[in-house]
Amino acid sequence: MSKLNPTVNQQFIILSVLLFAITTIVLSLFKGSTSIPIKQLLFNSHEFQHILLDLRLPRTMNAFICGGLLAMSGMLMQLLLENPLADPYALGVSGGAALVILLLMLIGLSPSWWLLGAWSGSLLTMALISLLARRHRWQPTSLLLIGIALACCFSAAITIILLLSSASDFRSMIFFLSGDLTETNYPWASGILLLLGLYICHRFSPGMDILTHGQLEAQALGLASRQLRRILFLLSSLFTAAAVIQAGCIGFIGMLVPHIARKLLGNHHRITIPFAMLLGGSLVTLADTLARSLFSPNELPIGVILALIGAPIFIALLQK
Amino acid sequence: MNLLETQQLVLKRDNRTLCQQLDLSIKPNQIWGILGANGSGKTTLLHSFMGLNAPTQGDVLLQGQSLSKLSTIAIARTSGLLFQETYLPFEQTVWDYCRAGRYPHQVSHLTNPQQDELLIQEAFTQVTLNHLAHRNVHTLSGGEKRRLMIAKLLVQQPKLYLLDEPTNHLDVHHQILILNHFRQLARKHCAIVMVMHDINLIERYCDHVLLLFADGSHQAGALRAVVTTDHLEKMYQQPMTYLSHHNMVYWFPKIF
Repeated sequence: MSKLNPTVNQQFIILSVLLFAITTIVLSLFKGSTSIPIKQLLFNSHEFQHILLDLRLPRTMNAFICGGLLAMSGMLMQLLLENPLADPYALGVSGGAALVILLLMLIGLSPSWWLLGAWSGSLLTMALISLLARRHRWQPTSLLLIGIALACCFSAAITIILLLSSASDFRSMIFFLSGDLTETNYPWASGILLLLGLYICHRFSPGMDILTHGQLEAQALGLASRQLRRILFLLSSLFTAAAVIQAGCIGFIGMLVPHIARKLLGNHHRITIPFAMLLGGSLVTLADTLARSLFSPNELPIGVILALIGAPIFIALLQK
Repeated sequence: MNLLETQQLVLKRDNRTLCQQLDLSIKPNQIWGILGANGSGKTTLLHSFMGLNAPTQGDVLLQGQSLSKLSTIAIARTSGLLFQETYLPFEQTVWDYCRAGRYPHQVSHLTNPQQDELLIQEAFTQVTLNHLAHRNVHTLSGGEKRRLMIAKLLVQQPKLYLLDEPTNHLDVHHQILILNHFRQLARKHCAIVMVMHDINLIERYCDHVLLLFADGSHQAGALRAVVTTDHLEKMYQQPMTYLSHHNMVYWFPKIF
């Protein structure tokens, strides 16, 4: 009865998510306002090659990486706050990053400053949550409630910025906030961050398994839990910041995907983190394909699609 | 050699002295009981034995070495703590939860998966949890969760067992089963330190006792010298009496 290696059932689950990821990527590449027939592509149609390589592929990569980053950020945040309901969106960490980006947009700073700004925003938000919950000895419930309160504050601040912005800024800001993947550059930097993040998480996965027992118990089991928590703190805020820059504030992925991953695979972070990354990436890619195709040529914000699909799934999961 | 030693240990929390100039020597084969009124600092003291709380003054030595100079992993290989409360923030199986007890040995490559598996099965047998190995921890009853936490501590295989109210949530049968098992461990060169509220269980199982008084003072030593009517009445602010039967002492609060 070995529990140390993935069981047959777990292998089936991992294989299924891999297939799901491949399917959503292929769908995303070939479906949209213009469907790409494979035959045409093979016969060297420049128009379709342009759509595929210059528009669809970067967008698909953007969506997949963004979903992967959000799912991993959610996993780490839940571990940090010892609460399976923690999520970068609900806790205001995405909101903090978005608020800084909107401020940078408002003062007209170039997008090259955005990563630094967004990371500062998400780091500051997480630091603020920790600082304010200190009096309550960082009890998970206090952390969660303070996070939710901060999310409300940021949401109010964002509304004020939107009201103060010019008509031209307003539309791009609204689209950015509800999830905008129209950026056509290849997301190399966030791709590298995703892979590096996966490697670091893999490296610390035995410690992360122990951290599911709570910080104090983990320390009593010999884990240098403070150091590990610091690493997770930096990583989760960086993942959130990169995802927000990539696609604005996208909810549900950070909460829904880790929840599914833990339900299906338990707390073996060596396998649950790559699984969450694949599932998060696939769901955002699928949502983006739907956002582009449902009311083509009009496009829906991806956040709207994810909220519409994510909310019922999450409620159904909680009922089980 | 002492397994655990405190030197002039002072513990203060929120400007309140919990423990003043405590000198304690805990040797292998000994079973220590810690008694004290609610909020007297029993848990804080137990956590300081594990290095989870830094002493205000003085030092705690584990096998002759100051805890402040030992790594968390070195501490966890020698001493294990059973927490007072069952804390299970994430869903997982009973088996996976228990496996975490092997972490101090796994991380130092001092064990292998087969050995871990045998130890977990053995621990489940000790606490009668075999039939629940695949259950989700969130579906367990209070007593089952307590036994699971004890199983996790058993697979950790420390030399010093620090138990914070080990009989919490347990029925009488399991209380005796678990305490008998810890007595067996003490006979195998381990030491047990347990915080308890049941003076009669302390009478049955402990050979040494530490009493913590509300003013931060204490009494420590052999059971018969320390557990007296005067000390218990001072500690609990409650008149106490006892019955003696077949060389056993049974304590009761006087109820008017």
